[in-house]
Amino acid sequence: MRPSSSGVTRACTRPRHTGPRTLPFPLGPLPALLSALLVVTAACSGLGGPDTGAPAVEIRIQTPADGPDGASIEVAGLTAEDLAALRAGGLSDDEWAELLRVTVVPEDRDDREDQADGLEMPPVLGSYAIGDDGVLRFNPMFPFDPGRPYSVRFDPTHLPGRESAAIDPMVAVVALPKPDVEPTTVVDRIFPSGDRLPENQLKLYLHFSAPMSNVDGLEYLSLRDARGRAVEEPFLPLGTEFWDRDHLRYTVFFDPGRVKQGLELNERLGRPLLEGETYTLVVDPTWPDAEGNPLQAPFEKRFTVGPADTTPLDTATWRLRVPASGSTQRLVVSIPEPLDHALMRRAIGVEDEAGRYVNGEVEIGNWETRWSLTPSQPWAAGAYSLVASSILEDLAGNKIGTAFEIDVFAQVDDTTARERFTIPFEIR
Amino acid sequence: MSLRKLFSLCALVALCAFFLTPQPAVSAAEGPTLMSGGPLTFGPDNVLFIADNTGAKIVALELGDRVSSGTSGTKDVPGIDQKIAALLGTDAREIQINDLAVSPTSSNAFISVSRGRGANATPVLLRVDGAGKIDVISLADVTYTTASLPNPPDANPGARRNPRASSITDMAYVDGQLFIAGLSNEEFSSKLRSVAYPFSTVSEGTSVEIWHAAHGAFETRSPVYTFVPYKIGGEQNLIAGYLCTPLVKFPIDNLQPGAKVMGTTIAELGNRNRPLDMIVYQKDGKDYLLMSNTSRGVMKIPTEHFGHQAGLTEPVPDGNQAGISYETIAQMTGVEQLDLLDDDHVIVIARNEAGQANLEAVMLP
Repeated sequence: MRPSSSGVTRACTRPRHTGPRTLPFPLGPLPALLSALLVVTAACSGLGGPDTGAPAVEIRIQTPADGPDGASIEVAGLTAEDLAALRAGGLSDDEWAELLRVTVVPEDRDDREDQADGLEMPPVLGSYAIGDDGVLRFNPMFPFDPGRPYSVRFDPTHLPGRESAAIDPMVAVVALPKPDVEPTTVVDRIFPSGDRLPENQLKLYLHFSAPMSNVDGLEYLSLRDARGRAVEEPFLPLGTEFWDRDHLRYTVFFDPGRVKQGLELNERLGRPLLEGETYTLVVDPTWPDAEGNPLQAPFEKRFTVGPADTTPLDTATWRLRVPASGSTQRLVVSIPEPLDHALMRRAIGVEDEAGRYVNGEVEIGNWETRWSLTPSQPWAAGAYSLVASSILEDLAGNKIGTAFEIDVFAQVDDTTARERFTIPFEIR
Repeated sequence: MSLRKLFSLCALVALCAFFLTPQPAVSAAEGPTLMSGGPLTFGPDNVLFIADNTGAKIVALELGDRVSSGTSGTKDVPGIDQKIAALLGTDAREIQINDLAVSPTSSNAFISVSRGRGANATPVLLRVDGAGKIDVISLADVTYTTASLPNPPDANPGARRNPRASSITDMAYVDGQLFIAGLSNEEFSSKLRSVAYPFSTVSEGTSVEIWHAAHGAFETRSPVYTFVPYKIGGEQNLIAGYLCTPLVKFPIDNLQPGAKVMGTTIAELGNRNRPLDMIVYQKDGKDYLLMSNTSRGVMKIPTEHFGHQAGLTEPVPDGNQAGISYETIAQMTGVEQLDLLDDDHVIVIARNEAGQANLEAVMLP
C-alpha cells in the first residue's frame, strides 16, 4: 500500500476477485484521527497508472470556504476519456451509486462494512456531477455530519467502457473534522425558584443557557428523596414534546395520574411529593446541548414540600403599589402565593381606560409572588386595569376562581365562563 | 362523597372562538418550508397534512403523482430506522420517526422523520413503496396551503419572545374538517381544534377545550393524545384517547362554538399508560378499534357497544379495565406507529428488544 507522495492513490490492478480493500489504519482511535482527516486517499496494494490502463485517482472530502454544510466528496484524476464517457453516459442514480458509493460507517462497529445487524445498508442519497475542473463530485442530499466517518467506494469497472477491466474498487474512509469544544451550556434557572413547593406541584421549568438537543429530557432528570432514593416515575413521560421552540426551556409535568385525587396511580403510589419531605431534582450533565456537547456541570435543586394547594386564585388578595403620574416608576403587584412563572409572564398585563395595552418591561420576582411593569412611557393620569387572563395558574394548576380539580356536579356551568379578570386602579 | 360521584367518568367539552388562520395557497414553484415534521394524515385528492410543531402550522401538501409514482403497496423494511439513517447520511440515533400514514391511493407508507437532534435538525418526508424502496419526497415544487396555529393572545405584548409552544400530537380528516389534538408546554389542558379544508375557503375554525372528569367529582383538565373519527349509529363521533387513560366519545355535531358538551367515557384502559395511535377497521362484519399504547401493548376494542355503553360510574380497582372490554394483542409488541394498510393488514413500525425499528405489515387481529 503506497499512497503516492502527491497524495494521489492509484487504482489497484489486482484481479477483482480479491475484493475491495479498506483503509490501512484501524478505526478504533477514530475520534482522535478525525480532526486531521480532511483528505484521505484510498489504499490499494498494487500500483496502477497509465501503463495498466487504470485511472490514477484521488478520493477526498472537500469543504467549501462558506462552511462544512456544502462539503462534497470528490474523485479527481479521472482520464479525459473517462470523463467524456461519464458526461455522455446518462447514468441512472443506481449506476452512479455503483460507480461511487458513499455509505455511513456504522458507529461502534469495527467491520466498517456497509452492513449492520445483517441488514444491507443503502448508500447515502445525493447527486453526482462532473465539474469543469474534471472532478467527479458527490453532493449529499443532507450535509455530512462533522466527525462522522463515511466510506467511499469507487469502482472503476462501472466507468462506461471499462466494464471488463480487471480493476479493484478503491475504498476510502473520509470525515469532516469535528472541532473539540469545551462544554459551556448550563442550567440557568429552574422555576419555581422557591425552595418550598406544594404537594400537588404540577410542573417545573428548566431554563438552559444555550439551545439543547431534541431529546427526551426525562432520561437526564431524577428526583431523589432526603435519603437519596429515586422517586418512582414522578414525571409525565412525554418525550420530546415539551421543549420551547428555541430549545432553551424544558417543561417537566409531574404525572397527573399521581397528582390528581381519585386516580388509581395516585391511590396506589401516592403523590410523588409528600408533605414535610425534602427532595432534590438532579440534572445529569450528560444531557446533550444542540451542539452535542454535555452540560458544563451537574445541577441540583433542593426543596421541601408543603401541604397540597387546592384553593383557586383570588385576585381580591392581590395588592397593587400604584406609581404616580408623570413617572416611569414600576407598578408592583404582590400576590400572596407563587404563581406559574411562564403563565405569570404571559397572562398578566395592564390596560388603560381605552383598552390599550401599556407597554413596558415586565419583571417577576420574590419567588414568583411579585409582578411589576416599568412603563416605556411615563404614566398618564387616569383609570387603568390590571388584566389577568383565565389561563393564569398557581404552582398546583389552580386558576382564578377555579381549582385544578373541581366538583363537576357543583360547578359544571362556571368553569370556562370568563376569559379575563380585571383589577381597576387609578394613576393620579 | 358517593362512589358514583367519585368515579363518574365523563368529559366536559366547551367551545370557544379559535384563531386558526388559513393562509392563501402558495405557488408550486416555491414549495413549503418546514421547520419540523410531525404527525401526518391524508386528506382528499392525495393531500397529505403534515404538522409543523416548531413552525406552529399545518401544511397541506398536494402530493399528486408523488403519492403513486412508486410500486403500490408497502413492503416490509427491517431496520427502517437504520436504513433511513443510512440514506440520510447519519446514524439511527440521529433519526426520530415522528409519524406514519398510508396513502389511500397507492397504499405506500409515508413517514415523517427528523434528521438530527441538535440545532441542525431537519424534517424529512419519506415514502416506502411496494418494492421496499425508500424515497425522500422533495417538497421543492409541491403546491401547498397552510393553516397557522398562533399562540393565544398575550396579555403582555411587551414580553420577550413567547416560549409557549403547542405540540400537535394527532390529526384526522373527516368530511371536509381537519381535527387536531395538541399539548402545550405551559398549560396542562387539551386543545382539540378543527378547521375546514381547503384552508383557503374558511375564515376561522373552532376550538374545543376538553376537560374530563375522569376520576370522579374531581373535574380536571387533561389532554387528548390521539383520536379517530368513527360513526356510531350514523352519527359521526370522535373517539379520543386521553393522556391519563380513559377512552371518550363525543359527537362531532355537538361541537359548536359556545356549546358545552358532556362526552362519555366508554372504556377505562388502565393506568400507567399513554395511548399512542389508533385506527378503526372491520373484520368478519364487525368494527374494531386498534390502539397502540406506551405500556399496555396493542389493544383490540370492539366498537359494537360504543353506542350504548353507559358512562362509567363505578370505581376501577387496581388500574384494571372497565366499560368496553378489550383484548391485548400479544403478537404485536413495541408498536410505536400504526396505520391501516388494506382490508386485512395494518402497517406498523415496531421496535424489537434490540432497539431496531421494523416496518412491517401485520394481519389485522
